[in-house]
Amino acid sequence: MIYGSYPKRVHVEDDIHYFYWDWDFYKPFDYEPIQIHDSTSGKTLLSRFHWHVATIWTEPILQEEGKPEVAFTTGIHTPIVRSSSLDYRYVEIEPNLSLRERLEIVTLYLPMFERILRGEKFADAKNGYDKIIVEGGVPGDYIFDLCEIKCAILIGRFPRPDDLPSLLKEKIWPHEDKNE
Amino acid sequence: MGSRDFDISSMLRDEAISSEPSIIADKLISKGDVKTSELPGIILPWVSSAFKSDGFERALAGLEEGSIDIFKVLVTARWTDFLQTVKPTIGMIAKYSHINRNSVSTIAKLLDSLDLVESSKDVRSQLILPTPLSRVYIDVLSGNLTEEHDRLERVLTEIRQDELTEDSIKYLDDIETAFHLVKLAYDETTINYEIMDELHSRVREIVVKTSSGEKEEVIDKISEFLQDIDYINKVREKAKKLGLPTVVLEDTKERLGRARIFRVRSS
Repeated sequence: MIYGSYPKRVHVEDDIHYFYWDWDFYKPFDYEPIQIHDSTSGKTLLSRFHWHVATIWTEPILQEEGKPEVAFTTGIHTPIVRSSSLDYRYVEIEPNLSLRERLEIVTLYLPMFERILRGEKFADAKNGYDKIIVEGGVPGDYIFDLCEIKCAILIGRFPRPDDLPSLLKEKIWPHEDKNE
Repeated sequence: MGSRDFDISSMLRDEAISSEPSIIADKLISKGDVKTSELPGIILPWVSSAFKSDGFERALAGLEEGSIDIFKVLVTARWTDFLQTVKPTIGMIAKYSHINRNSVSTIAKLLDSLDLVESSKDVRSQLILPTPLSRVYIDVLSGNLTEEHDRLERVLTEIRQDELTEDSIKYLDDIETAFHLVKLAYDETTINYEIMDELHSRVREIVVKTSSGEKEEVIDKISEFLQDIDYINKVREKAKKLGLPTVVLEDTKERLGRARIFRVRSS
């Protein structure tokens, strides 16, 4: 279920839902991916805050059907997941982030995330989106590729390796399999 | 000193107090129809109120409290030195910076030892006079790097033409010192410190290669650094427009595989 700015379409590709807006307020052409990863301890939601920056929600509140709820802010679209905990940390996965990338993190991305997170998100009416789902059709440049992720905002408890998709797991615990 | 009812905030944002005084004064005179004689009566109250503003807090977000006081003392000293109508005494600086006299006195001794001010006696008062290094320090600390960009471009031109002046060599030393001092204004356990540390390393490399006469490498390093400054200015300007304060990211020393974990330090 979604709250806030309603997308024009939702493209589904490789089980990832891409919420698409062609024009919203001042922002044109946007695909916001949301990937749900199932593990033995529950569900983890992953999204993209910026090209190399993921958001990882480890404590989503699920509805009776086991579905999470997500809010989109008009003109920004960064998904905010209804969660048991909004306590968050910045996770620097790659050790070689550039000066410019780190500067953007402290000057733009995290201040922006903080602002979006603290805003009221789940007061409006919620909506389903089954009727606007289309299969495929996401341009290559907008595919949510976890290989590209260098850092993340982690909201909620620390994940165990099993709580993350294998690509992200291998980035964070690169020697895990070798040690087993 | 007379002052008329002039709303300076309609022309300048509070963050502008860290800009070069001559630039601000020129702007007020040329675009605000302010007379030179009116400047002290308009500017000093504005500086004083800007120190208490949200814009000022945003501009210096992430700095340790002591560094913010140092900044206030330096900025006030610079403005009074520029205006020349009041003397930059301990008492006067205390009045406009909202810091008590004893603290201003302690800060002044520290700044003197770092070559950021020169203290001199005037009858019964101690005067706090800014040095060339203090201008660079104020710019770097406030992230207002436009002037430094222009100055470095001039250094680059001199190097290309094999005409590097003593002034420019002194300037390179000053900017290296400024980055070093500004780095120390951040907590070592933060990403903010690491960013300043990297910038400082780059400037230090420029100074070292300049003194060893490695012309081509110096040109490359300065050009690269200028691009970084451009980028920093662009990102900061964007954040300023959006009203976003820089966050301080502190290393929590927690473990998550090979990843480093940071938390936003609350202000």
